[in-house]
Amino acid sequence: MEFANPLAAFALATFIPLIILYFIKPKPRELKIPSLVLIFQLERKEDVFRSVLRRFVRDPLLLIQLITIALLTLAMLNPFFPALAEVEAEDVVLVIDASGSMQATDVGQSRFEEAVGLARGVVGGKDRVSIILAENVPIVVLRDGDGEKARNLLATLRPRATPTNLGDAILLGKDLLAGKENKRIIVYSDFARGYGPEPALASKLAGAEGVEVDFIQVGREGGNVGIVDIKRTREGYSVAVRSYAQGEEEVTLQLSSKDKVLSSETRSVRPSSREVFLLQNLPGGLLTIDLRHDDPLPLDNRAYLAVPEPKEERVLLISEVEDPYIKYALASAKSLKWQVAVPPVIPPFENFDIVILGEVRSTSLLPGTIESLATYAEKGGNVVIVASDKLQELGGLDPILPVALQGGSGRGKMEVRTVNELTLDLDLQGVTTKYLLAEAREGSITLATAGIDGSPVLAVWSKGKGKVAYFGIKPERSWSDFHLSPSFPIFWVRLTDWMRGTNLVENKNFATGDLVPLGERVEVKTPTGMVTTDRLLLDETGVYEFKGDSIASNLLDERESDIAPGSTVPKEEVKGTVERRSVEVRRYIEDYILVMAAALILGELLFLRRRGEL
Amino acid sequence: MLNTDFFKELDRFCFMVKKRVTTVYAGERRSIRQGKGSEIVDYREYMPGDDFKSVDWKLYGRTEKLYIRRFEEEKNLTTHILIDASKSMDFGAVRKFDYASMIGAGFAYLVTNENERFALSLFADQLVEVMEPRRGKRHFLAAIDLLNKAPAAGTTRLDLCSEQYSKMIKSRSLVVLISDFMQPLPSIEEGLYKISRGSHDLIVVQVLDLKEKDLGWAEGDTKLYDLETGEMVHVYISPRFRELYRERFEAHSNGIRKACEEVGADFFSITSNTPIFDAFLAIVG
Repeated sequence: MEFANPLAAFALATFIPLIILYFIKPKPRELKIPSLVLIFQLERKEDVFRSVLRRFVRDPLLLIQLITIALLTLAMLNPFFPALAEVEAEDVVLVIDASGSMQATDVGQSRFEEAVGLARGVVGGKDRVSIILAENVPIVVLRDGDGEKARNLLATLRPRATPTNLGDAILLGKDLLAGKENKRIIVYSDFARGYGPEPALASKLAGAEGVEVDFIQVGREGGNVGIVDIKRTREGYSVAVRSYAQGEEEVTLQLSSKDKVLSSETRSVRPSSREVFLLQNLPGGLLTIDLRHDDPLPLDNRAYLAVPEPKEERVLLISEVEDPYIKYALASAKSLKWQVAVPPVIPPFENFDIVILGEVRSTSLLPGTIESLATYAEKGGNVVIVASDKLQELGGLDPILPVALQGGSGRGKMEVRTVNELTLDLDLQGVTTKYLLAEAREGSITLATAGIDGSPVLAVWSKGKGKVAYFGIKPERSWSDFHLSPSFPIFWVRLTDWMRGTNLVENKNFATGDLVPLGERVEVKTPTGMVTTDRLLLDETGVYEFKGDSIASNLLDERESDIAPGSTVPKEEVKGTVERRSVEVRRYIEDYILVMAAALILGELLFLRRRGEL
Repeated sequence: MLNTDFFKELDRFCFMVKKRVTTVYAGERRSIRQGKGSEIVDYREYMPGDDFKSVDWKLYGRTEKLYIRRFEEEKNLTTHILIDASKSMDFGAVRKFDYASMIGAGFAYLVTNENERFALSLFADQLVEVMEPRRGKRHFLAAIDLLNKAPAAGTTRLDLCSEQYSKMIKSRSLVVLISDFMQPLPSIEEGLYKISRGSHDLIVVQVLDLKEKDLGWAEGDTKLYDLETGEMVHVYISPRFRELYRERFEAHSNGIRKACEEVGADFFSITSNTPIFDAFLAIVG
């Protein structure tokens, strides 16, 4: 027993005057009577307890009053017993893994449904509950709702098809609980492999801020076989099928278009191995790839492939150089129809998708040609301006050129500043080249620079509705040898692809969890409904349609397809169920003591009444 | 203390009693007891073991059967007056012992006037004074003298004293036992049983003081000492305590009354504030 108010013990000092009062009270009268024998009999009739009490305590009133004072003092001391009690109301963040692997059906209806069921059972009516869906980014679907609201909302949640990122969800939960007491995070997941911070690490970080994190695992088995990758190759499309089963599995890959089976192939996949199927001569349009195999995760047994309709891109190269190298680079791309124009005779720009301005003299161009090029870009045309010694002489390029030429040139090594689909894997790094001194214009993106002054040699920007690229390396030996390297034609193919933009395969096929900027708020038909947004989060597999275009979204994630539970959290930290947390509370007992004191006072009154003094 | 006024009162008292009591101590009472005497009551057939001298030979001559005569026993009555002289009797505005003495002297005076024999004895934890049963004024005066000089001292042992005294009673007698009976009830019951053996007539008079009967004069924190033993008990005398005490006292008296009924004795409980003649009239009336 402990005391909340120890100073109250001084109240015991009231014993002293009370005892003194009893000491100074008159001595008992002494009388002689003949009938003491009868009083002895009376005394014998009293119970043993009173008899003993009488022996030690001459006057019971003193004892009663001393005990009463002691009890009142004890009550003032605020005595309490430390005890464990269930927390009545907690601030709870439920982190529910909504990733693709949670759609596995090895437990109940699905792992997700199992998790939701468990979560509904944990929430108490007085709790303040926040719910985070752990997709590849954490999504808060409820903030500080009451228990009933949380349970109702949980019943409406559906699993997504994104990769998982439990760590960030836990850290977000920790931030939501900042400044609160009795806080905890309960994570429901299969703890299959995911992305972001490790859940165990995030748990430690949360624990450092006083947030208890409980891991509740759902899911029993792995053994999945699924489509984990689709790549475009020179020959067509490669589809990777990965088996996580213990034994060899026979699978059939079936390609369909509008319910019409185009091809089908059956193979055996060895345990923990990957089998690649090649799909060739695909027609344009939306295709469906089905993996015929019975496993707990149907989600990755189907993939969608949006194949752009074949279309020839028309490219105009304006150059006075005889037999320019760029011509050969363009020729390597089968889908390009190119034409070289020698000034001053230049066909109308509107007849082409891409215009490449090579080395030309200002005097060769008819007046207004550069202005027409700028107008062409503003209206949606794509322009590539290639550096040359005579570039600065061309007037009127400033409005469309993504760099500002400083005049003069330098020589130095190239350095890739931004790695993207244009520069990835290209052998640009370290190439020594001559370059024009320039500065990037505001709003442009510098992909590569050269020299110690960092002049941009590859910069792009959007101009009006079109795109403009600046390529600062003249394909000539006096500048560099880059035009002689194998990367040169690849670079030009990528550059023209990038210029063509939306018609690319890569622009029509996405992985779930990707965020697609739409530029403006548009109505999007998702695989399961309609949304209006300007940034489309692809959290379902299937086809999304907007603005007359279609894109495909697939899981295509080896980690999500590996549904074997429990690999990201130490087993000892995983629980089967969650119990309401107990906290140490003070069980105050002064009420009981006061009742006892009141009973004693009442007893004293009864005693006095029984003795006939009241 | 008895004095001459008391004797005058006794004369007046005796006159009143005579008028109202005609048969009790007249010396003419028939006894229901049969034995050796002068008057034949009846006859019965001789049985082996009967005294051969009792055979009525004249009747044998007439009937040729052996009959024995049955006589009425002597009808003279001896009165034994036993007065408690223990220390507990030394209590009260009118000492209980004095009051008991007056009752005892009253009986003696009444008996003397009828020329019957009486014996007056005092007892406490044992027999203190024992007088031989005799007749006459001189004997009466000796008894008065004894009562005047007797100190009230010692504890009460009625059981022991009854046993001792009952052995001294030779013939059928009237026994008057006067005491406050302040001792445990079993001891009293035993004493009454012993003194009543021998088919004696027994009159039991309990003399009490009003103060000891209700403890109304005592209150609060009190040390009570026993008059006889000096034992002390420390009590808080409250109305409740007094109520319990009264109940206990009543039960004690009822216990004595019940014991008296069992032995065929008459029981009278009198407080010392009762006028003596009223008390005496209640006893012998």
